[in-house]
Amino acid sequence: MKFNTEIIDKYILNQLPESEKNEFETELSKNKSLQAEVEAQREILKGIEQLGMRTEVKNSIKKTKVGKLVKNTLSVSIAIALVAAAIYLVTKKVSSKQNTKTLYELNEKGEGNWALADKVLKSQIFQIDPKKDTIIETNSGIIFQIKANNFLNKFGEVPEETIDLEVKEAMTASDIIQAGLSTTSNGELLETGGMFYINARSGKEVLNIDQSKPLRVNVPSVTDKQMSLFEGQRLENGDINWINPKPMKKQLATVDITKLNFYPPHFLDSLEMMGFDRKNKKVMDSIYYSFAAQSICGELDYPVQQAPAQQAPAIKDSASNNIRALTGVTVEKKDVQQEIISGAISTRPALTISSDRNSSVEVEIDGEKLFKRNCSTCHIAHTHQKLTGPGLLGIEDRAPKGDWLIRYIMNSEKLIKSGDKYANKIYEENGKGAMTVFEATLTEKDIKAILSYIGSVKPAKLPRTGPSCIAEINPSRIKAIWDEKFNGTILATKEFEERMQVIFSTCNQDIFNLYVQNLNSNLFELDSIAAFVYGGDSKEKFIEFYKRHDGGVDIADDQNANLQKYLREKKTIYEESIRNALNKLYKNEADLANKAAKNRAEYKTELNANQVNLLFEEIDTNLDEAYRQLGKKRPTVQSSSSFQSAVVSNSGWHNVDRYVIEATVNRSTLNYTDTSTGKVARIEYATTKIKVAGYENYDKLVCYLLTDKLSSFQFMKDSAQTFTERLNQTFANSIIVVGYKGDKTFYKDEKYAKAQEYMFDLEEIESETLVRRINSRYDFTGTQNVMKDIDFNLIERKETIRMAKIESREKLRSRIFSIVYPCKQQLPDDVGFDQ
Amino acid sequence: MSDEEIINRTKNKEYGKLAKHLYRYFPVIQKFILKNSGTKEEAEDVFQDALIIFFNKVNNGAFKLESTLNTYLFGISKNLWHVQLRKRKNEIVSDLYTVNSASIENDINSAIEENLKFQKALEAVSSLGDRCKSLLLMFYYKKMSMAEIAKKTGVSSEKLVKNQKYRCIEKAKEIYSSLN
Repeated sequence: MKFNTEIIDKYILNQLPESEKNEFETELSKNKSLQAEVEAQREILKGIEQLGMRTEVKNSIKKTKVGKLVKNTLSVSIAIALVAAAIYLVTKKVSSKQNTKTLYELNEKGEGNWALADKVLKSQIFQIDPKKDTIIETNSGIIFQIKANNFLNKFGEVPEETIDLEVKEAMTASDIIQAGLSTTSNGELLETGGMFYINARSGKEVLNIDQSKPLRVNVPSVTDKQMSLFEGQRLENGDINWINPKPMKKQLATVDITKLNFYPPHFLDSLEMMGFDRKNKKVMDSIYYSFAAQSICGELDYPVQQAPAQQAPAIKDSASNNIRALTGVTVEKKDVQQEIISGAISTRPALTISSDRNSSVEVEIDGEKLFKRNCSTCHIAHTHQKLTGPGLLGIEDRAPKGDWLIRYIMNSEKLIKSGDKYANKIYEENGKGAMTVFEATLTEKDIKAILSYIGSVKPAKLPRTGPSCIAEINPSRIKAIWDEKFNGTILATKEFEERMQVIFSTCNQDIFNLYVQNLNSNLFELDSIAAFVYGGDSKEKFIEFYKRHDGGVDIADDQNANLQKYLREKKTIYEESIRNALNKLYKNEADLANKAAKNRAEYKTELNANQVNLLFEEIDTNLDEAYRQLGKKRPTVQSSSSFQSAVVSNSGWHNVDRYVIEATVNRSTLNYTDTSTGKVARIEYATTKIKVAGYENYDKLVCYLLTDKLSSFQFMKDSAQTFTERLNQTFANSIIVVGYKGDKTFYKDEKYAKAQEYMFDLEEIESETLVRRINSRYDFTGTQNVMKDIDFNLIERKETIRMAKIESREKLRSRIFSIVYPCKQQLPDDVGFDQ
Repeated sequence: MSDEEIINRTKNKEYGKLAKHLYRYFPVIQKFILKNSGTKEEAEDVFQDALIIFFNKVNNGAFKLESTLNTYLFGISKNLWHVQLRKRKNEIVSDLYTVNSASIENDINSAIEENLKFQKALEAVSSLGDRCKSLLLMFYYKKMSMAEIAKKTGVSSEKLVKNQKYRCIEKAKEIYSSLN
């Protein structure tokens, strides 16, 4: 018998058959070297016992230690059972085997003991390609995120074949009780948020999780309390003891970022109340983003707050420059941002622009109105900023004294041509653009009122009428992040959506940047920084957010870098494009308004001239008629007033002329008897009245009196909603009424108007048809002028509608402004508008 | 758990559970060692050794606890740390905690001494490779069957496991005899 290690081992363990044992003992008693051998082997077994003891004690202490530490810091822990080890998410479940109890002979430890839970809970099996990233979601919504090569076999290799990932879960109280799962950790009761089991196998072989790449698991939270993930330790009696808790951070679930609401608080509600469809994101976006240009300090070429007709705010105003000079604040604060992130907190100087709302300026209302109607297209009253014409701030101080300004405004061309030095200087300085002649439209009194208005407006009033520059959350920044590119980041989460509302209320671009530029951080970390840096009213809110302990969303470094690069580019691009678009829009609107004003002025001048001519024409015609009735030949003198002296020299006919002129001017009947012949000259004027049904419903009504004798039309006077005129009964009189309502045209005429009262019920008519009809119905020489006037009114109507749209848009903008930039004081509703 | 129960369970070799239970005595020991130039890790090692010494003492002869277990474990730990510090030289140990009676001190010293006799074998086994160690532990310490071990280690037959086990023991004996 050979006494090898095996025999000795069996002898020590008392496993030798009786005969062999006796033989061995006989040999042992005489063989010294065998004695030594056996003794050594006994020692080795003791050594193994010692090692086992040490290992057991050591492991036990290690686990106890962690448990103790965590327990000390967490008052309430929530057990998430994790039997094998744990992790993160899944896309699709490949198969779910129902009603199978324990699918495998051995558990995750390679042992045969299964707890009741293993037998009761159904297994969900996911088949996974071990070399690909996989996300799986279980029936109860637990999400596991598995990276490629996450599971290793016993050789530390990634299995070649599909892996079966077995998951069991007990997420409800009834499941937990049914499964007989304990909710104690070393005898202490846990508040459980659910338990799950996960184990991966390749065939029958249990796989290990690569320790350098732990899986991630997202468990639906049932509470806002801090939860911990406990490991399940199988006890011999089949119970599971929960040990080794790890605090869980709330991994955020991302959603489609375009479905989130990143508008400022109340934005959608307010717009809805204003009659917009809040579900129309295109419209909402276009409104919101249009405010992007608003906050660019000192860069705008055109004021953006108001329509050109109400030009008031100037962005490059001295007030905002002063503020910048005082605070040293510039728009870009990247450096500050960097510092915040690195932990050295630097706060920016507070930028407060006081808006002096209480200092209402005492102005004669007429002057302001007149300015806005006549001047604001080309001039800004408050500043030196040039639009089409120069800014008018301090105009009375710098222009020559006396009535120079009035003369210049009345008719600048005349003054320039007269060689006035200052007038020519202004002309040259402003690109030789002539100013509208206001002689026909403004009186001296009007001009004085305007000047007094300009003089009363102070630059300090600017913040009231428009923002100078704002360092709040710029819509262009929102546009940059509100993009599918940011799906799968912390920004595409409900949690960030909530924070965004608070960020808006801080009006602090830096806090916005803090979140946006740190996509790889946990939200709660950023919350703590925000709470620390921002000392304002929202501090508490950030602290509350922090307490929720919201985690982050895993994002690769290069993806983060790419997104940051994208952000920097887009920010600038959006700002510029929005600003350019706005500038273009306003410039376009200003051009149109300029053009309309110019046309209007020209036409009015022409019209005035026509009306003056018309009087002379009628006098002339009446004289002809009077002489005809008297049977006399009319002297070949012009009845123009400038020839009056010539008429007076002919004493015989003086009276007739004077009568005729008086009668015509007064539109009263001429009844003249020639004393020498007894013949009578009678030119009768009789009253015709036109009433229009629904008079008050029209935006504008024009009543033309057209005659066969005169070269143009005459307006019927509108008094007390009745068009009244005394018509020359020697003429063929036609009356045309045109009504305007919105963009619609209405019409009614009376070709042979008599001395009576008419009630007109206007019919709607296409404006083109109207012009054509008038042209075909009347071949009087004045017809052309009627058509011209209708054309003018149509253009004016369009212009009025356009201006009304701009006005309502700007009114809206001024209301929305305070929502988009909540820290700015609200603009007064009447800014730039007075109706 | 009473001290008596602990002793009984020690005889049942429930070392893991006991260690967890006795961990409650650790903070005092840790405080002492930290005060006397030690680190937290060193304190843990000392505490662990103290537990082993206690377990061995209980399982190797008549053990009679003459003080509380807390005092006993602290005494062992303190002595172990004294030895450590003496090796480092120049370190002065605070006497603040030396409150045990002479007889208890004797018990403690004998327990520590007795424990030294396991050192050589432990060293031999400890210096084996991981695979050998876990195999031997499974068989001799956890008392697992050959079939179970074969399954767990993924070895195809029990015979192969057996052969491997003997090779491991031979290797350990070799190391053992080379130590002096």
